[in-house]
Amino acid sequence: MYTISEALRGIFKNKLMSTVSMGVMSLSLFIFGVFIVITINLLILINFAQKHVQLEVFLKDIPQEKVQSVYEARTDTLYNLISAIDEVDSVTYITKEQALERFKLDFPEFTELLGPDFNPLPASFIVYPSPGFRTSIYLQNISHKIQDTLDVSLGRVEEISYGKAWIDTLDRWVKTIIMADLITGLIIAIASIFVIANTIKLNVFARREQIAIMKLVGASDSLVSKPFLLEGSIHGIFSGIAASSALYFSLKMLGRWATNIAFPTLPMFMILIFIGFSLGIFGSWLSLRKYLVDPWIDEDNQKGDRTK
Amino acid sequence: MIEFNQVTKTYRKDWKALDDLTFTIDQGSYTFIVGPSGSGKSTVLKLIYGAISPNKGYVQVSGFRIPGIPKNQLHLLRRKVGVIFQDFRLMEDRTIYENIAFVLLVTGTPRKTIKDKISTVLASLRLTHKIHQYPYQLSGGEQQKVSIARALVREPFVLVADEPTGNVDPEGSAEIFQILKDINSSGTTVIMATHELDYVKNTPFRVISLTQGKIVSDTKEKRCIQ
Ligand SMILES: Nc1ncnc2c1ncn2[C@@H]1O[C@H](COP(=O)(O)OP(=O)(O)O)[C@@H](O)[C@H]1O
Ligand SMILES: [Mg+2]
Repeated sequence: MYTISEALRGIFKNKLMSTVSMGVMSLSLFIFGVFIVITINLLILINFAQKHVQLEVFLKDIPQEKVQSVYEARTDTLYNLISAIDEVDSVTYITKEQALERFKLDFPEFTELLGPDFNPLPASFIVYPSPGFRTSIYLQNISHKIQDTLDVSLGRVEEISYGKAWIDTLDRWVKTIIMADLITGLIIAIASIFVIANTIKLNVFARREQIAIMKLVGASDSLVSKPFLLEGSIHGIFSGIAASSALYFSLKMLGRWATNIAFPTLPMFMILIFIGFSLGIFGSWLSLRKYLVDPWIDEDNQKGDRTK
Repeated sequence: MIEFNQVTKTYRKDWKALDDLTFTIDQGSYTFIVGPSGSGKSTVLKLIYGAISPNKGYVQVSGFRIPGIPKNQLHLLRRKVGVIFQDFRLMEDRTIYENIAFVLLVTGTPRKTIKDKISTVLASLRLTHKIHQYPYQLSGGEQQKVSIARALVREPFVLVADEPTGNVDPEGSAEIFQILKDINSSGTTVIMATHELDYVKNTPFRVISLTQGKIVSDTKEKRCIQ
């Protein structure tokens, strides 16, 4: 009760300081929010590009009608074995017929050459590696592991292929981009924390005399701190709301251009509010520690000596 | 009772603000601490309300001993010691009522009791009509009375006054001094630091004189010796 009324008094009696604090916090959180949105979209884009990192396992044709079921059983075994490989995310089976359909779509000019009676295309497995294993080294590993199953799958595999060069180029790009993104994020985070901490410090500094008086008349440290911490966290929460709303409406205003930008609204609101809250409460705590120690001693002396 | 036992305080190296001070102050007494500026008067008072801790020796105030009192109990000592300053130290953004109410709120006093106590103490100091004004709307003398009210409302067993009339006009000063004497006659120990020797001429009260952190005279000791 006391804590709440003191915190509200702090916010409303010091309108200028409150406004400055919240303004600075909101702006920092907004910039950080922009960064998060960019990062999210970058990751989505990277994931999209990496979906194309895959490995194709072409299967031998089945020689005769009567051994069909035996061969199909071996194909199933092979499917299970590939799926069980650690680095593999998922496997898709492409039948001869599906391969033909795809071919016709890709090369319509050759359609007439081929037909249900003449289908030279093999059935295949398309193997998608898990995220984090989408480089040619891992593809090579997977490929080796598939070849090691040959004795069980009894030579169903005709050939394994993957595009080595572009996969590694993509991987280098992804690494560079993620690194740049992390560094930018770190810089923004450090700058924001620094600016916010200083604003809060200013806020507490402006009221150091009040803190001194409170302590003088017998308020315990925790009693003095609680309203400040509550005030700091309220500032933080409101700044978080302001920043995420601003972000939300900026994207709305970008309108048509922004339709492809992913913006997880609720998580964004929650993240920015949470960061604001934590920074507000932590920053207040840090600044308070200094003025709680024994704030009036030195001042008292300077004052006392000057007036005499 | 307040006891200083071989207390030495050094703020900076090689300079003793207080040098091996030993004395006791009786419960219910009125004591002046006098001396030129920089002689250590404020330092003595700060030790009493626990703003600082001695480098050597100890200070015993009621049940509290400094050093030795845990940090998280210091505020308990301060609730027992009323302090008033030359510069009043009221919270400028709060009314007189709120300033006084604050010291009761921090001890969790119920609102009803707070109201009663404040009206009693303000009435006794003839300040009731200023209750909803802010400190800057009051004269120096009135502000000092508010700070006395703030100290009194919690019934301290000792009232410590550091140059209480330093920023008050002569008329107000006389009133403040009278109030302090009244407080003392109702049983509260009062310790008043001042460099204005007018107060201590022909005073019946004890006078401890400090120079450069040492006691140069103490009227009580003399009486004992005689
Ligand atoms: N916080 C401090 N830091 C350094 N020196 C101090 C401090 N407080 C007091 N002093 C020094 O200690 C001496 C006594 O100061 P003080 O007790 O304030 O004297 P008085 O109140 O009698 O004028 C002075 O020399 C003063 O400069
Ligand atoms: Mg002094």
